[in-house]
Parts: sequence; structure tokens; C-alpha cells
Amino acid sequence: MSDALVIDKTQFEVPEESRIADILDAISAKNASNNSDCGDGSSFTAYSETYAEHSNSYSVAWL
Amino acid sequence: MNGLIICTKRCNLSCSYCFESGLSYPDNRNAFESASRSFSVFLDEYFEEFLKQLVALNKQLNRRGSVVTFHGGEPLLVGYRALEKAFRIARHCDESISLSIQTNGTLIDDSLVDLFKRFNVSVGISIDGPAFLHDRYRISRSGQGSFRRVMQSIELLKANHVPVGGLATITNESAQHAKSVYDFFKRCNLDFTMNPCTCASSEASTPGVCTPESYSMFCKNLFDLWINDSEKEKPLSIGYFEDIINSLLVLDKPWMGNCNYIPNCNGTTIAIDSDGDLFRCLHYCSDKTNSLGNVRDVLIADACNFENEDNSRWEYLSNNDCKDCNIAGHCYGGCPFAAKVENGSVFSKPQTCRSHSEIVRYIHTYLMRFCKDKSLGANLACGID
Repeated sequence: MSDALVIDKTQFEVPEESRIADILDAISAKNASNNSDCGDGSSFTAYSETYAEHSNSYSVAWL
Repeated sequence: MNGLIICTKRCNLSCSYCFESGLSYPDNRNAFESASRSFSVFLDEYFEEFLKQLVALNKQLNRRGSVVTFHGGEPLLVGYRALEKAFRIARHCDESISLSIQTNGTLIDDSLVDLFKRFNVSVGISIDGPAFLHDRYRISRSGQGSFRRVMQSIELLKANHVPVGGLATITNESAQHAKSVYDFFKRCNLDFTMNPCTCASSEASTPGVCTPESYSMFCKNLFDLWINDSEKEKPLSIGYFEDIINSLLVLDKPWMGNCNYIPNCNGTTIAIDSDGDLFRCLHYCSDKTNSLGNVRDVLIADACNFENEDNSRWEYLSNNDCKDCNIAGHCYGGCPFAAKVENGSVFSKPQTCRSHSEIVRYIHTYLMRFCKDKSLGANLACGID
């Protein structure tokens, strides 16, 4: 299993053109990125609030 | 594990809400020289050892990579040459290290922009929103607002395609202006995250402190603006909300670099100051008695395995203060440092618990509307029902 976070939207009824769909896509892309912690420069902060180390495999079985 | 380099504790600004206020030098030229000298010694004596250990530990733990953030005080006070040397050492140690710097943005010029670009350094800028909010607290020693200079830096970085984001401190004033804050960051196309302005210590009053009630109201208003924005452009990234959504969508808790969403934050970050002393995170660096030892004397791996009261904190809170909270499994009692500062003991919840829990519930309620099966939706990671 990939160690990238994946948001399983199949269980999610989100209108395609909605903003939440765009946001979930953006979060998924960020999670999948090796540089998700600071690729956009906004996710790191003074208090290590980063996406830095999603090293464990897990599925997002939300719902 | 993230590495945090405290380049200097000095700063060229005198932000009135800063938890390190009073550390600015009376003469900024001296501040440059002194900070640069100390940091040069650090680079020669400690930095490479720190990086080697950090990279090896992350490999051993099968982490994706190492993230190193240069911080302060104001890290740019150490000057161009020292920073160039630091970036060169880091790249030589491991080409894949993600480098970033968190700055007040007042000292960035063309040469630094070129440097960031050359070494692929992401830049976080502390900016609180539009001028009337930013300049209320983020001021020079003479009381002059820094907004204009900071905006010049952001524009310069963007024009040169250096990754840049904002870090906003939400004060009691800005909490009343969610729309102004949102419109500002949107207009600037600047992704950002935020922290509430909280008490710097239990002994002194801090200007601009945002009450839990006003912060949660601000966040709800901001979330509504963000989530209901009907424009077709790529949505602005607001780190705080994305973190909450991420954590709500995860059933099996991952080991996360984010110290806010795990039971014990030990080991998410290791900070080092210019004397080579190791600390748990930025919060602890202002007091040398919090040091976990010097990087020459102790291994980071051992330093992070220290035994202290925090190790049993969650066990205690889950049976006491957080026992009846339905999002306890989401925030794990919050920041132990803040709890100790505010209440005198880590076996307590920080004030941010009141606002954070309300915001998590608000976002959860929003997400639930997209649940196909409402009964399954109740089983979210955080256990809200």
C-alpha cells in the first residue's frame, strides 16, 4: 500500500463543482506530495504544524 | 521528525504580543553582527552533527524525508553569508532535505530571494492580514508598522517563484474582521495558516490576547467564507482548516508530524539553538533549563525518548479532564506547554481547547452533510457522535 494519504471520495457525495471537492482534491494532492509539509510555504509554522511525516500507510475510510 | 534551527533569539521588530518580546537589541546594527557571529560558530561546531543525526533518525524511522526550518527570533538577522553556508551544509549532508525559513519578512532583498531560489527554500512570512490589523502589533522598536515592507518582500518572492506562505497571529482585534482577513489573503493569493494570540506567560499580560470565544467565532466566520467562496479559482489553502479536515478523515491515526493531532508530541520536532542545545520545540527554547542536552553530548534519538511527566499526560487527561469530551481522540488534550504556562501543570488543558473543540465540531457538522450513510459517518476518527 502506498504511504500517501488518499481521501476516498467514493463514499463521499460531494458535488463535483463544489468548493469542498476542490479543497479535498488539494488536500489529497498535498498529502501525496513528498514536500507536502512546506511545498507551498504555508503549512510549516513556528510550532511544527506541518504535514511533514505521514509515513504510515492508512486509508481514509471515512464514512 | 522536523528539525528547527533557532538561528538567533534576537529580532529587529518589537511586536507587542510576541512571547519573546524584550529580546530585541537596542541597536539593530549590533544585532546583525552579534547574531551572525553566534550563528557562524553554530555552523562550524554543531550544525552538521545535528543534520546527520536528524537525517539518520528519519531514515531509521522510515520517514519520508527530513524537514529543516530556520527560525528565530528573526533568522535573517544572521545575514546572507551565514545562511548561504547553512543551506550549503544542509544540501551537502542530504540533497533531499526540505529547507524552509520562517521570517518576519522585513529583511528580504533581491540577493536573499536568489539564495532561497538557488537552494529551494520555502519561505513562511509572519503577516496578520491587511495593514490596519498587521500594523497594530507588528511594529519596529520606534513603533512603526512593518506591513509595507513585508508586502514588498512577499511580492518579490512571488515574482521570483519562491514558494511563500503566510502565518497569521489572530488577535482580539483581527478576530472581529474575518472577512477582511480572508479577502486580504485571497487578494494576495497567499496560502496561510494561523494561531490565536495567547498569553506569553502566566505572570504577565499579553496585548492582543484572543479569547477562546472570539477565536472560535472568527474561525467559524472564516471557514464559512472559505468553504462558500463561489469563485472558480483554485481555493486558497488555509492550513488550520485543512489540518482539521485531514484529521477528521483519518480513521487510523497516522504518525503525524503535526504536534496538534497526536497523543504525545515528543519526537515530532527537535529544536536546536545556536549553542547546540536541544529542545523539544520552539516553545521550550527560551529557557535553558528546558534543554535536553547538547548535540555534542547526547543523541537526538535519546533526547526524544526522555522520560517526563508529558509521557503520562494523555493517560491522565483521558481519564479525567478529557474523559467526557467527544473530540478527545482528535486533539489529545492540546499543547502541554500552553497548558503548563496557563495552568501551572501539564496535567490540564490549555485555553485553546475551548475554541479548538468548537471549531472541530463546526467543521465536522459541515462535512457530515456529504455523508452517504449518516450512521457510518458517526464513526469518524474523532469519535464525534
